[in-house]
Amino acid sequence: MEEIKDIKLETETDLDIFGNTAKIKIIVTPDKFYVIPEQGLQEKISFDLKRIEGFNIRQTVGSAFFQIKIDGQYIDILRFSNANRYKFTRLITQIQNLKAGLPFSNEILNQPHPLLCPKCGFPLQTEGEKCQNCLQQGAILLRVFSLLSEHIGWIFIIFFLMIIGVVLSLVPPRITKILVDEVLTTKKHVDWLPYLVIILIASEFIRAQINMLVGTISTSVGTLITNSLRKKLFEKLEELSLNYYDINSIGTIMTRFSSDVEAFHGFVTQAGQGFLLNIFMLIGIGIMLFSINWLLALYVMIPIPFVIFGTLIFWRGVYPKYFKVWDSQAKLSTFLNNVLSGIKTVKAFSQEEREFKRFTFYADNLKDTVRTVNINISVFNPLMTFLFGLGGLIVWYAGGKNVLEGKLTLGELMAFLSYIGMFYTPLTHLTLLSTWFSNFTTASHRIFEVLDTEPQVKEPKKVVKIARLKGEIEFKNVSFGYDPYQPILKNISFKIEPGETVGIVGKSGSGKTTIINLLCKFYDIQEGEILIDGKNIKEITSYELRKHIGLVLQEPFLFRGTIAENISYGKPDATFEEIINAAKIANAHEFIMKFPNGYDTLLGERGAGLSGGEKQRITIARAILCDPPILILDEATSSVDTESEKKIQDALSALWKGRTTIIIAHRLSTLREADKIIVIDNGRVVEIGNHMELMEKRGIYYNLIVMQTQLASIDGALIK
Amino acid sequence: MNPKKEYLTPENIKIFKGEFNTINVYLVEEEILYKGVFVVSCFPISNPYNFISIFYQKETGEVEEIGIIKDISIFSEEEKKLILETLNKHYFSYEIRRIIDIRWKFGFLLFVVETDKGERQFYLKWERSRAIEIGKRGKILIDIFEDRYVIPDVQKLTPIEKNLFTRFIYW
Ligand SMILES: Nc1ncnc2c1ncn2[C@@H]1O[C@H](COP(=O)(O)OP(=O)(O)O)[C@@H](O)[C@H]1O
Ligand SMILES: [Mg+2]
Repeated sequence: MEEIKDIKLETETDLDIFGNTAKIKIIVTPDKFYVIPEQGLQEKISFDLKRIEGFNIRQTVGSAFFQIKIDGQYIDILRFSNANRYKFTRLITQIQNLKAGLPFSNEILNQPHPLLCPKCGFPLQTEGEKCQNCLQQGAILLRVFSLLSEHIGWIFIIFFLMIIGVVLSLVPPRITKILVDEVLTTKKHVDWLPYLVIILIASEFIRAQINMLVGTISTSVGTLITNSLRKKLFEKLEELSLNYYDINSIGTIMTRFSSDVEAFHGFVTQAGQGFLLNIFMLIGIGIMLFSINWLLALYVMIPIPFVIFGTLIFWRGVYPKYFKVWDSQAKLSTFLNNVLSGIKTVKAFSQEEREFKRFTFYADNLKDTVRTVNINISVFNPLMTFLFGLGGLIVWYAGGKNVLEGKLTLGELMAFLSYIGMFYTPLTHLTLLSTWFSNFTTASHRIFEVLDTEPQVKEPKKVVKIARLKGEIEFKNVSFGYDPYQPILKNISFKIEPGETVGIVGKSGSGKTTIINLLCKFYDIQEGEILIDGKNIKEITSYELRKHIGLVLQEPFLFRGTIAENISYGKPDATFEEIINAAKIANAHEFIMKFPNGYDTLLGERGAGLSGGEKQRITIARAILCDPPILILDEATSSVDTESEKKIQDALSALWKGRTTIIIAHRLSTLREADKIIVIDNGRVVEIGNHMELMEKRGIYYNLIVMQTQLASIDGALIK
Repeated sequence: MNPKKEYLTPENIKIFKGEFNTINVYLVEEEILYKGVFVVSCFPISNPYNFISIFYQKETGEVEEIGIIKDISIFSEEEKKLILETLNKHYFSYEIRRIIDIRWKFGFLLFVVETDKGERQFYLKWERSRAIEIGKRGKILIDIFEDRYVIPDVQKLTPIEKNLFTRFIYW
């Protein structure tokens, strides 16, 4: 093998080109690119760096190919599993730097994956996040306790009351002993009878009071904590960037609110009434048993291993079955939700029967899982009762013998038996402690996970108030991809002067909405900069920025409430006059007035009761009402008929002077009067100019216009 | 691409080996040669070997469909072999043969498994969307790096493995 000198970059991949596990070295020197297989079926090859025209990564399902471009053709020369992808994206940059004579680094190629904690190798939720594992197991508990610490006073009171309660519940058997030994059998102190009964009543009464108090207090504290937790969660969810919602389904987020917060609540109340109480009980009763007769107490311990063992085995088996019950419940309700909201479609396609069959499937599934769990429980409970009873029987026998031999009084035996009755139940609870506890940590972990998520869009440290924007917008070499590996916008540059009306056109999927998403800071750009009034939007908080932008989306979203409330959503203190004016500009006034209740018409969920075009006009009015210096209509008039669309735009240009307006429209005819039209194709700006200029150019815009004119004349409508 | 284009058949395309383990496609009527094409199944799970789409990569790196092969069996053995080889190159997964251990920690499952490509460990985010059904009884597990691990039939796991598996992946 020839010796390779002057190695600049070196790394390795885990697959050969055919998808076998392999070890293949990649070495780059100042003028050559080597592929050196140490394992696998691939051949060794090398290329002159000069001959390579470009690099690319072609993602396939489950793995990806590293490509080089030679003679205008991309060739797969290496393959790697997704776990190694980061290496090769880095490799491309490093080779390009090397070729261009810029500084490069070999180290960066062979660092561990950015999704793994560099210290312990445990996965991170997102790159650069704190490692849950390094935060240590106890960290979660610490945080829970920090949440509890606000209520520390109450928690101490609960503790104190609980101990009194336990002590009180130990009293009655003691009294019973005295009653039997001193009063009933020996008749030494017959006159004690009424007093002893009074003590019994009193202790029971006080214990009931204390239990009531403990219950009330711990429930209040529990609801207080969960309530503040819910509020924190909601605040966080509002703060998070849109990409969080791309990744997480609304369903999972809702679970955080309902079941996870509930589990948390469960812990707080359980910790008070279940767990701690049981420990105190166990200790208290243990002391009592041993103080009466240690030998007999030892007998009582005999069934303990069986109780613990049985409980554990049972939960091992039953617990997963509970999961299945929850799962089939969730599936059934998702199914119902889905079918009922699409009931029109179901009926339109006459698929009722098929949906019924599917429903039957989910319903039967739920029935089966519930039955399994319940059968398990009904077998388990009697078995456990039998085990508990066993302890009692041992005491009856051994204790009874002792009483007959005079080593134990009858009262002591009676007390003993009552204590045993109280002994085993706490034991089963404590056995399940670890299961219950791990559920709780999972739930709290999921809650903290949301609370700890950093919004993807970074906000500037310093908040600068903006008085009023002029509305100048500039994109400078902006590149962006929702998945950083797959750029959607490529090196976009354009400038919009204050007060201009600008159209953005391009095929669907070409990246028009993405441009708007970046302008509104819903996502952070990866390269280049966006300037508004000459200021980089990275230095403006998104809250401040969006106050100055009126955005109308393609999908109109209306909240439940009146039309007036919906129009004034962004400015709740708007006057009646302002609301009507905005509706007039949006060409919505006319149809609103046709409703008997006019602007006070109540809309259903998502604006039910209005047509698509009507909803859109209300959302336009909503944006106009805020009087923003920049107004963006993203296909906001696509469901409006051509005539109304024209009216809206005329009204906008007449009443909306001096504001920058960006219009993304599908019908190009409506953009004729725009000051500037930006044509996007495949994430690139391909043409900029006004209608006349672009028509003369006979480029993409011209073709789009011609195509739409033809389509329109096929429809029989004449383009004026 | 012309959407009305008929399906690709041995009459209208020729498939042959190119440089560097690639395959090339020649459109007979149009007299166009596409080098280094790749193929993708339209229904990778329900009907993987029919309706195979052929793509080529433009100079810009973007890809475009040439056409669809509806029925691969009408091609010559040699062409068939080339297509299937290239098709298999498009998909990559580890097939799980044995589950050695699964451990839960902070919302992740650490799997230790024996696969067709040797023993492996991987972390799975404990979320429904990360373990999805394939076929009637199989599951695909998608690990934190988006690598794919396939269990062809969960019912065929040993009782101990199945118990361990369904304790965490119960959906
Ligand atoms: N939230 C998202 N996550 C991932 N990809 C997205 C997202 N939104 C849009 N895309 C993709 O980005 C591309 C451009 O989309 P978009 O800007 O909405 O196009 P347009 O508005 O021009 O129709 C499309 O290929 C689309 O699939
Ligand atoms: Mg769009």
